[in-house]
Amino acid sequence: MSRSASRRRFLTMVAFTAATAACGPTLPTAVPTKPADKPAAAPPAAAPTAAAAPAGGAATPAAKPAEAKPAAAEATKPAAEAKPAAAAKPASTVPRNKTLILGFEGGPVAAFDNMNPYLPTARNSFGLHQVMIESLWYLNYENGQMIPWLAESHEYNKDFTQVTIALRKGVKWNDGQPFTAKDVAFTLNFLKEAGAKVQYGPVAQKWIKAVQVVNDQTVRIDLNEPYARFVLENFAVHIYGAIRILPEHIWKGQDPTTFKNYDPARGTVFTGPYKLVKVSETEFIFDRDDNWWGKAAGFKELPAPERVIFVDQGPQERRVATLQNNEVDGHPSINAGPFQTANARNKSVIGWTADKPWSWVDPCPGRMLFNCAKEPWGDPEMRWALNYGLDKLKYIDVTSEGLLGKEALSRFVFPDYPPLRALLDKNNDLYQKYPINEYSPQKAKDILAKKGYKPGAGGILNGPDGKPFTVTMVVGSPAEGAVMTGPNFIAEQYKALGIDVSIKQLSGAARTEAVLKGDYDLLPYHNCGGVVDPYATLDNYHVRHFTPIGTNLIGGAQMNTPRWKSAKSEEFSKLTDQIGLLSPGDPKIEPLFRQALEIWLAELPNFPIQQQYRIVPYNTTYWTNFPDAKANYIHPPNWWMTTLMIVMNVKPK
Amino acid sequence: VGLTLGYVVRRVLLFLLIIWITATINFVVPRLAPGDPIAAVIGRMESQGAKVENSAEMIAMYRQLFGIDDPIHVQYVKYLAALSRLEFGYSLANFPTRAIEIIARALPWTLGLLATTTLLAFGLGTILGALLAWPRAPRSLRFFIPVFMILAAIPAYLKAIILLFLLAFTVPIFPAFGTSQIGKVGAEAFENFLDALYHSALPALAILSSSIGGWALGMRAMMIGTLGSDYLVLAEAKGLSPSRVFFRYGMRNAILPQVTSLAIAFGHIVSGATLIELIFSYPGVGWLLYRAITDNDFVMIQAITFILVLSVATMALLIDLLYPRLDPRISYARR
Repeated sequence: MSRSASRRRFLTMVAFTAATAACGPTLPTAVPTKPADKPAAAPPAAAPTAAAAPAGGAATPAAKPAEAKPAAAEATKPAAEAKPAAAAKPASTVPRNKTLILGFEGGPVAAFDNMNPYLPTARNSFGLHQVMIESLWYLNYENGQMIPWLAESHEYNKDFTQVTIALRKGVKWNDGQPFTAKDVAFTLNFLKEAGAKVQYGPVAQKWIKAVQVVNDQTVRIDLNEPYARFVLENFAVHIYGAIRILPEHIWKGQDPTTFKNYDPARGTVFTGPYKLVKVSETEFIFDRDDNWWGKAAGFKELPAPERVIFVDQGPQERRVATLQNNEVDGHPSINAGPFQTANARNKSVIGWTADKPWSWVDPCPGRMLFNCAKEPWGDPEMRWALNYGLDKLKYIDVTSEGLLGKEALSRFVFPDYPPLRALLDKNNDLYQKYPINEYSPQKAKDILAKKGYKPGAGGILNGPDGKPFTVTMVVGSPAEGAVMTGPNFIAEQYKALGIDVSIKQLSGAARTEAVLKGDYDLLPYHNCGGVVDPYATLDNYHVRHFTPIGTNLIGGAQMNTPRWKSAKSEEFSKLTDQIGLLSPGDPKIEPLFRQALEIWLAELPNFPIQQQYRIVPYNTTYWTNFPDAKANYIHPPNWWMTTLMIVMNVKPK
Repeated sequence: VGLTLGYVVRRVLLFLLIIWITATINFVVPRLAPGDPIAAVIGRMESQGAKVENSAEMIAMYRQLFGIDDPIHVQYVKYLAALSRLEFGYSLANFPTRAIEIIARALPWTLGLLATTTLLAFGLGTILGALLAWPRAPRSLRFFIPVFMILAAIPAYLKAIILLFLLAFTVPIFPAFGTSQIGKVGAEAFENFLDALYHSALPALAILSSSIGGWALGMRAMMIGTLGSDYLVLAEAKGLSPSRVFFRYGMRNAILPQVTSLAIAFGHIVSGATLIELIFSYPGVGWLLYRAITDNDFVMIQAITFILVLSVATMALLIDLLYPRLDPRISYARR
């Protein structure tokens, strides 16, 4: 072989290899080879339940304490064998006007085959917990009521150490097996056993003493301590999610940390009205299950959309384009500017309100956290100085680009929802003494001077130790979508007081670690707590959640995030405990809350910055009756479990 | 020819040394970055509104499970042992999915996109570059020189945004993101292939427009150097056809450095085109790497980086060993 022939062969080989690499790769298999099995026959229709309430209908928020009736212990029958039927092939495409398309948050999903809703890595909001999984109840923020769904009612004993839950009759898993109290008991025991390995595991371990199956439709839960909000906070989608009941016949014997619950041949089994038919990093497709138990049991009609698709919502500009071009029917969120662009180009794009600010009040208002375990932030007067030093109205104006005004101010770290607003209204007089929304740079300067801060070089104060007063404010990274307008404004305002604020932009893991370990001076951060009752918000500041700097917060990033521990915080925590022993809505809460509020205002472990307004855009080109301020049958988030209420209510145009 | 056993052995040992050093750097650097990967998972859950009680307990449990709390030397030994078996372990941010499983899903997308664009850019750029230097080529081709220079100067991600605005939003000819038509289920393999091709049009165009200029300008410089060679003058004097002189005598002798660059470029392909993949929600390795860095998922970072190092080092080794076959002037034998 000649040398030249050899080189030619090599070059040919390079080209061939490259061409093979270019054309050869097998695309990832995203479509299940077989669709989920359907039951052999339509399940026998159970008698319609009298208590079936329309979506959005009222139900008791939390039952009054009463002695649980000792229900006769019925031997529970073994669940009938599921008879798999011939697999029905999902339609290749469904007409657009029969398809509901919603965006999902958080970017593409790398582990798109993870259908275990309890893993810490579970994404859930790509449709899994919106249309496949049903909750026992759905809390409706609009009227403060719990909508009974898989459950019909519940009853606490006198001291809230036991709750009895009555389940709805006729509920079936999507493989035809009956859904019973045994599944509820299995789930709670599963969580209790798994503990810290899974979401809700620590809750189950801490609170649940024993679970007893009274009969197929009744389960009784004994609690380790009184917990008057056990059902409200854990089974009713208080915020985002709830304890999701698992089918025992699928999950029994599975390792909670490695079971993915994804089997294209068998299907992913839950009770919801939709079945999973396709998964990929950017798209999840669910087809309506016409054998859904709700229809057969006479509980509800089938939802109108035949197919529901969740797609990666992408950056702001893509959200505008997909809304404008009617490629989606809704997204989890969009900024005001992009929303106005989409709305100007397509009038079918709507927000919660028909006019400005088009926004819905998110349950997690914004606040400025101090690291109370780090000096000088252990001093309440220093915290008040910074509160006086921030012009919140101006901040709101600047960050919302003029969209919001006084209505976005917060008096406490409550979302501005009617029951909580009413509670604060009754304590308006306290705000004369503690003018939390007063902007007074002079008062701020006076406090700082009193504390020994003196003018130094470059307009920066020198502290009592003679060193320049420099503080670190940890914020999100612009690379992950954080907008710097707010932090920059705050830094400028504090600089005017003589405080040198160093903005530390951290992304993902680094920011979370800084929050959990207390590696900051100032931290603008949201507060997710109570939504119809003050307890959860107050509990966020409970001293039992305190951990020293350098140690991870024991209760997660919402629980005593400011590391507030003092004699006053002990007192505050005792009042919180007393409120915790009362049922939501109990009038005895009001005086206790007033005392707690006064301590909180005097101490100010953090200060509220503003209500969190969020635009959740919908597009009415193909579907109508999305929730809005007028048709407020439910709150609008479409990444929460409550999305099912929206899917059940939308109507084709 | 031109290759000795001793050289091959030394070169393979060097290859192994490079792999070990880079694997060690790969182990150390992600651990120096701030941020607890498990805390990041908890943070992501909370940012979506989920309440995570007793997260400290959860973080401690998973840190123990993943061996993150082991002494660093124990982690290092375990890491090297696993690497020798090409095991990367579970992705910290996507547990219980293994890192290799996620990479295996992403790699075909990246290879499909980048191998095609690299090859196209190489082919078109090399021919155009050679023509730009060739005296007999039409003068109109010179128009491409400033165009290439401008295209090469604009970053690919910027062109991606412009293309997205023009061809996906303003005149919606191409899809803006993803790899398949929204809502389509169970299509045939060929249909899926065409769909994927269609969806990769804009990212491919962004990459192609950036890289083609580099190849063309490189080849042009190489070709200019070749033009004055005696063998080329002789070929012309012999009366060989212009196309034969151009391809056989001109391009063929100028192309060697381009082939080397191509081999190295192919080695880099496995790392993906991070920004392009992010902009188009293209589920390739570049996007995975971005997510892994953000989440400090160092198992995933290690896996992707190791595969990249392995790929580049292997290509470099191959090209080094094959050089004597490509260019007879190169010999590793002692003279």
